[in-house]
Amino acid sequence: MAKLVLVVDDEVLIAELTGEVLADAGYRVLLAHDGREALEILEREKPDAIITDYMMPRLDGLGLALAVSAAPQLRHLPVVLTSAVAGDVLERYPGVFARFLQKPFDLTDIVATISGLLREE
Amino acid sequence: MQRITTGVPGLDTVLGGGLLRGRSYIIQGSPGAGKTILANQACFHRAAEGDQALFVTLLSESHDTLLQHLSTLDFYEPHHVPQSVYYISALGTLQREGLDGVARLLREETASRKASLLVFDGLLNVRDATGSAPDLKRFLHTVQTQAAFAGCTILMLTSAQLDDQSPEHTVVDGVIELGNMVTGVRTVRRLQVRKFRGGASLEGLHQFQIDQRGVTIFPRLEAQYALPSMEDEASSPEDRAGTGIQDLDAIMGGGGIPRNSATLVFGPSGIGKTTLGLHFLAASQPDEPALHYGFYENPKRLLSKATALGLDLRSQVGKGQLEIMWHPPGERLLDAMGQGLLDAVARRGVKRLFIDGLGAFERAAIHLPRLVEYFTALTSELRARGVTTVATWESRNIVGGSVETPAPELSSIVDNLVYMRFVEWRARMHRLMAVVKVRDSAFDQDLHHFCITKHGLEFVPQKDGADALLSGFAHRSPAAAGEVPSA
Repeated sequence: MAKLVLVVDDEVLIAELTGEVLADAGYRVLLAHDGREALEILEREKPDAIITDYMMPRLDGLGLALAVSAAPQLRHLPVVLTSAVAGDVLERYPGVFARFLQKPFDLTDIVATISGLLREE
Repeated sequence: MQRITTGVPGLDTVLGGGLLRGRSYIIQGSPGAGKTILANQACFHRAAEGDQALFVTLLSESHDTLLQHLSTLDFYEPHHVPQSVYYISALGTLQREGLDGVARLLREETASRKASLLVFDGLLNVRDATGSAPDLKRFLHTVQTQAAFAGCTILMLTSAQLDDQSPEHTVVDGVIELGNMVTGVRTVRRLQVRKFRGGASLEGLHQFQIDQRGVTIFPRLEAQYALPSMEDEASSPEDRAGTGIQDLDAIMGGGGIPRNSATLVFGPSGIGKTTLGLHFLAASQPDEPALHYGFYENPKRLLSKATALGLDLRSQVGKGQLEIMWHPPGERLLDAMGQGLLDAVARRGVKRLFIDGLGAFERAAIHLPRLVEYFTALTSELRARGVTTVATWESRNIVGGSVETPAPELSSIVDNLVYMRFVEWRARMHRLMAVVKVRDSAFDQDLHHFCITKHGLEFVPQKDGADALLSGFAHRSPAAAGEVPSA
């Protein structure tokens, strides 16, 4: 069965577009619009990777990634951070994110990043 | 009531000190009017002040595109994002949970980030999402009440042209409108505070510009300085500032121009108005920093001109005694000019000011009738700051039978008037000068013949009645049989 990717972004259009590009590349996709909604989805779904924005309402991308890495059943999940302004979060939290993509990103980069990560697995 | 500053140059002055804490405001204007830049500028200012700002959008423009644009502007400090300025979209929440969800999101995010400023961009989408005016009002009331409770000031941005009776306007505490007026072939951006509860704001249309620094607002000078910012420095009519031309000092009543006054020198192009001004600047003493505020010659040419007139302005500039501000030709904003002038005066404590070309102010004025109030406010403020000002006004006729005065209002605004003109006499042009008015002082009312030499502006001793020349059609007066002295 096709691999499942959870896309988390409060900007609806970006979430949808990212989802469509991944679907075109053969992935199954779930969408969430903030970190809290993503965690709710993770309670019932078992995605193979997460792509998350940084600045979001309720729970940001860092909060989501920290929650994922703290949960034994989720910590194997690669989390890709996408942001226009990640600041020093990558340095302060080494190992929390599998990859970082600077926004605005090229949609082919998203597919390449995900396929690369899932192939590594 | 506690205020929070926006840091947008000029806006806090217009608002009487800033926005009120915990209140909600609408900023409206067509796309491209500058709403987003202005609001972001305020966010980064709050961040610089140690506060948290939250920017919530309901728009389809992505945040990374917005941040890319902002990153080209001076106020953008990357280290404030996301720590102190935080961008989120509420569009998904609106689609899934409706307006109640958006209101809840705003409340939660404001509280969790302890934001002192919340920008909500996309009020038009709220209008589209509500079925009725009561729904819209209820949403706005909810958001407003939450903000008041949290002590967070809200700026709601909309591209709708809302009127005073709209539900949005009736609910919020203030409305700031940004517009772009076409006048002739140029456009001028203008800001108006249409509503401001709980405080006095400067009324009217204030010009603004958008450039590398973001939005800069120039409060209407006549509104900002309706009353001078300080009390007049007391000075007696005997307290004089020498013009650097002894003969002129003498005919103005002795000693020169009364201090803290405004003098208008008017006459045709090439008569010697600038020369008079350069004498005035060259005569400045160490305790009277001088400023040349001009539009015609650039500093290099001006200094060369002074040297040719035997005036050492170069060393004055070198010592910091004199500053030359040159404004090359171009489209200018009247209030930006006035503000720039007053800022330059304040910066160095200028006491001697020469404005070469009040006509440049006239050309910058979009609405000519306001010039009277504008110049009144400007001259009053300069007097209050203890500045002795000499300004020039170019009359159109080079020679002629009529005496052309500047706008009558201008003549009454200034304290002193000096009139210059050419006359033709035996196939030569001659220069004449007369003092027309000196504040609270007697003065010599005769016409005086002068010329421009390598020593600058020099009076020519009168042997015959120069008054005969005033008509411009020179003739020998019956009383004077001698020659007009040559220069």
